[in-house]
Amino acid sequence: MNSSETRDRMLSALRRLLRPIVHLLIGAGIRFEEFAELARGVYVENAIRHGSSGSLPPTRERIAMVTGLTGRQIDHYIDNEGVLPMADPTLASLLVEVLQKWHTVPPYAGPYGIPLELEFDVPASRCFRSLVALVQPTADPRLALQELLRTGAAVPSGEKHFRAASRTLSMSDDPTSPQLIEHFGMTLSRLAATLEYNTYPDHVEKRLERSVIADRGLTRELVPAFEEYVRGRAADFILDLDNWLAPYASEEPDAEERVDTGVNVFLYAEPPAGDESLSSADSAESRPT
Amino acid sequence: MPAGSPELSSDARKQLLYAVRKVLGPIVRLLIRIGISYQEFAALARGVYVESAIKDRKGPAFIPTRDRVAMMTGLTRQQIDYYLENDQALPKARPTLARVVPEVLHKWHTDPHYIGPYGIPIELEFDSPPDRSFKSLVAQIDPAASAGLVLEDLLQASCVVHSGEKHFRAIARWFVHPDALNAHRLDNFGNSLTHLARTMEYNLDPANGEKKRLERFVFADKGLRRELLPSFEAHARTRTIQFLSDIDDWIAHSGAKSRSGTRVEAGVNVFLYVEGPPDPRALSGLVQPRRPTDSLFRKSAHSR
Repeated sequence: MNSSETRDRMLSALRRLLRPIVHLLIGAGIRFEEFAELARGVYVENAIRHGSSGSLPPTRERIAMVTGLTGRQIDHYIDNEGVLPMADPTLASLLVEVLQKWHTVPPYAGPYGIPLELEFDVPASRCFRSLVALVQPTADPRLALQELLRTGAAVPSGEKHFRAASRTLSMSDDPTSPQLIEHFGMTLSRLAATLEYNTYPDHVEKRLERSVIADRGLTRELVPAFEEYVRGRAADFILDLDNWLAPYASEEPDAEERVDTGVNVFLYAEPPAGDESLSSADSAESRPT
Repeated sequence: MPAGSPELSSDARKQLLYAVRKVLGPIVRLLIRIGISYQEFAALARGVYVESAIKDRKGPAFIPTRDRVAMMTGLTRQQIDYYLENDQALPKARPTLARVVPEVLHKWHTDPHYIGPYGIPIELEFDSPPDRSFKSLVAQIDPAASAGLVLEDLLQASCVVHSGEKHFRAIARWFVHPDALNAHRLDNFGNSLTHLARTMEYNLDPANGEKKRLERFVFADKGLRRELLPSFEAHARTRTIQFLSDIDDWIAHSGAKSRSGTRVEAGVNVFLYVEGPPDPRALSGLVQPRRPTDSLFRKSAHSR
């Protein structure tokens, strides 16, 4: 494939993958200029953090050349720390770990891996507070409990105890919840990073990324049965990987060099996307006469 | 957010912009490597804004006016007109063998006509006998596809090997292209991200209530020691092959039964991710310091 074909192919891929992201942005009232400002910053950021070809850091001129942005635009992103959006992590990853430990780590998990019922703060060595502290000593256990109760992952038991009702955290159903949006960004960026990693010729061992597709699609009425089957198989698959990982979970996060890793599985079912022209889809009502 | 969702809180808005920053990172890195500048990216993204505002609307099936599209996207009428009146303004994907090649492997492993006892794919000659050859196998999937090119791709990816002088044997059920940057991989880049984004978009839509699409993950608490990563990858790879083979079999047996009715694209994807810790350094500390002459250059460039 020559470079012109590569560019054309990439632009077609970009058109497809940007569409659902842009749809979300339009729904959230984020217009093109705000998105463009963010995208300019991402160009600058990645040209700097990942664009160094030798031991020397890149110059501003080189960044301008690589990104096609002006010196003034480059300066704006380099000299104004905080111009690129940042967000504090939500409680989601803490809660996932709390539930995982509650189901697997003694003394919180009893015989046969059944999570024990816990009081909030007694006894000090085996209570909900100590469980949260095991995952993240600075976290607020009250907030964590509140969130687990709200999502139904934990339920009160009697007057003083709490019981883990699920090993997994169900995300909020509210599409505007920061937790759900964080999950969207985290998951999509992880897949993007895996796919990008696999495009480097010197990465001989590619990261696992596999899919199975229904040749020529499935009829709409078969989709629920397909989903049910996949859901059942995926539960076993995820559990198997979780069991493999469990013995290696560290209680001393800084003790050794560790990397964040995991496996994600998803199902898709969607009507074929069309590339038909836009002019057939807009209204003639406001065209200039 | 699906259109019509309640307004975002300031926290959620911050989280959304941060999410988009993270998602765009690897995409932009690939664009830079291919030599696609910000301007080209922006021209395309502008078009996608117009496209999405027109095609992805929900609710009553009215056709939006150009003024409404301008209001939704923040673009000018002139910009909207440009995308609506130029068919070539947005790139169109030309078909590749990307879809045919994995389907050939799938059929070779599941179609009773091409498998022998114990479900093992039989060795095939290229074009004889005409009703059970590699050529006939490809023709069943896409009569217009070149069987020679498909075979070339499969041999290059080591999914198929020569057996004797005339036969070919399928030795892998999954197609992984050996080249790092090729049409298959770029198509896969776009398709996999689009599928995941669509699944997540579907799950974010309150209209879909309890009927969420499957999207699950498992991760190592506090990460995994780097030296354990290869073992984890090997384990995950083996389990994934088994998991996806089961689904492939289900599709071959149940999916093929129903031939009529509206069809949807459907599939399952598994991926493994590895992330280093976030880089806390400010951008200004990662570029060479400005030379005293830079500001002079900038001033003179500006005054010209």
